[in-house]
Amino acid sequence: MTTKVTINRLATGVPGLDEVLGGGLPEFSFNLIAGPPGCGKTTLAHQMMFALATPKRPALYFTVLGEPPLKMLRYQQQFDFFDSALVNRSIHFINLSDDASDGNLDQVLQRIVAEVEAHHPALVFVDSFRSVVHASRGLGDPHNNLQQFVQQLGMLMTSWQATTFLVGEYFIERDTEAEANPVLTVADGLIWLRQSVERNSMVRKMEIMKMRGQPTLPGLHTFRIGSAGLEVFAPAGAALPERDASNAKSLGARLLMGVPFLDEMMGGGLPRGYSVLVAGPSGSGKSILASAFLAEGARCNETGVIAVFEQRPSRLRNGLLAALIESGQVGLVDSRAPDLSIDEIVQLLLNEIRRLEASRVVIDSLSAFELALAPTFREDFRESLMRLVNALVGEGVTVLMTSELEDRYIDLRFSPYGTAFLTDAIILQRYIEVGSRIRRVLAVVKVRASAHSDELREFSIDDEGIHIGEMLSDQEGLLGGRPTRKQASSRSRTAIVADGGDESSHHEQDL
Amino acid sequence: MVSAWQGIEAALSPVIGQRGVAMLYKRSLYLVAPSHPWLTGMHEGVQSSIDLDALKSVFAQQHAAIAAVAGGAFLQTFCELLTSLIGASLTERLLRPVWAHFSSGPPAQDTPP
Repeated sequence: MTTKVTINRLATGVPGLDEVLGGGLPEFSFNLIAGPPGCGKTTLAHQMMFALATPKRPALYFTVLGEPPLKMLRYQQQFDFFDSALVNRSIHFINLSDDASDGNLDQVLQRIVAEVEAHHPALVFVDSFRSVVHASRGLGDPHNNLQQFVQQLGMLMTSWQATTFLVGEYFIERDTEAEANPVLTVADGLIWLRQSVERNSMVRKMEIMKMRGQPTLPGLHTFRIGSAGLEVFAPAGAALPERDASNAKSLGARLLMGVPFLDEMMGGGLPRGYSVLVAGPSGSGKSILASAFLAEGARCNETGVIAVFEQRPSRLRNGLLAALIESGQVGLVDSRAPDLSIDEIVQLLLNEIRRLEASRVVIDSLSAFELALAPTFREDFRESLMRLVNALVGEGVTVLMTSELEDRYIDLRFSPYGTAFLTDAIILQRYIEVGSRIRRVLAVVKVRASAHSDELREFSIDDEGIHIGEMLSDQEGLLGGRPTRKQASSRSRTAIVADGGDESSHHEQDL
Repeated sequence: MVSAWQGIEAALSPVIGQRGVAMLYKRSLYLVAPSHPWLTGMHEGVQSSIDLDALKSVFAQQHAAIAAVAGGAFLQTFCELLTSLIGASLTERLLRPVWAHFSSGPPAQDTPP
């Protein structure tokens, strides 16, 4: 029988924060919420307080010299979580400015003790702590005073069984000065908020620098502040898949693409749970293929989700897609929010996938997606994309992504990011010139662990969608963009014609 | 009326500080003075806390009916000022204990249903 103490973990009420904290907030812990002005410290504190406080487990919110309480109340009540009915019932705001104004920390502490004894709070917030530090300056050794104050406060709150938060601005970064600051060593938890500014984009980030006894998720996690308060985007893949993969199996091993003959070319459809990249130049029909993929899903009673970064939903040029979204068979993720992070996109997609129990997901297109990301995330786009694909595939869905590909006839590339290896299947679309006309060809380049066609087939697009035609057997050098009619002699050559050789023969003809 | 102000101070100063209450009190006096010229200039004396003795003595010099009207207007101005800053529901929530002590109820104001 174990006699070890069990540490309760409190659900903070902030979406995503519990995951980042490694399972919630340890009860009776002594925490610091730090960061520069305007990064959301007070909002985070309020959001947790309104989520956690109950009449039986009330919260005390001490305001010190920082933000005038009137203003704090004025602005905080704009958030959805602010419920004024809880004020003076389960939440008590207490202003300490009169006690702190003469800089006597003992008096501040006494006042806190008196209020704690009067209210028996389960949660205590002191905002802003920096102003306590400032108030203590000028009286002997501020460092000693402060250390004593923090240690006494920490001990007091723990023995009173109160989970405590000191909210403050701490400009010191990392280990350099952290050890010198007694507050940071006494604290059980350090929640550090930052704002990362690059060009004219701003991204909010949170780091759990310390949380005793918990496997927190390391690194910087983006968050956004909206009318509902903070939303933290835990790294893609951190949240365990909620869905049972067996559900997917019951739907059959392969999905149909919704384009006649394409399934045959892929060896009988796209294996379920695969990710497929549709690469091609602008206007080649990638979005139409994506819509057909979703429409086929709807026909088979499967729901889908599409993330669109290019087209405004109000003027979706694709009528088929608009109808699917209208009918509710396809969910639309269309974040117009600036400065997106990959984790935020993943969260938006997962929410929609879970809401609709979707099995097909389309991202149209990766190129526009990259542009929608905040500049700070573009550097590791490849890595981010891998996390995105892994998170979606881990959810059990089948993913189709389109990628804008500049036609280059000197090499054969499938994505501008070198991301082709990430996907399980690749469909390539290209323009070719035949008889003074632009024509389109399509090939299934890759289907992992499956036989597939090696044909390069012409296709056309009309109101009905994509029609895959025949191979242009009488032409060769299609991938070079300027095919030539095969000569009798070349027919007898081996099937694979080296690009370079073909080009050179072509030039010879020109000459 | 003095006990109403005592109640207000007791209810608000823990939340927004004595100084915060005094500033609102001062501003309300300033706003209400044009309609009650005998209050003119009184706001200038308000420092970091409210002086109810001074208020009492100024009001005592007036006819009871005049003092009652002005006193009501002053309270109402204060409540409206607070409402404009932190909203009706929070104002009502914070000042509830004050009105609970008075059978006369709160001064006329736009309280939400």
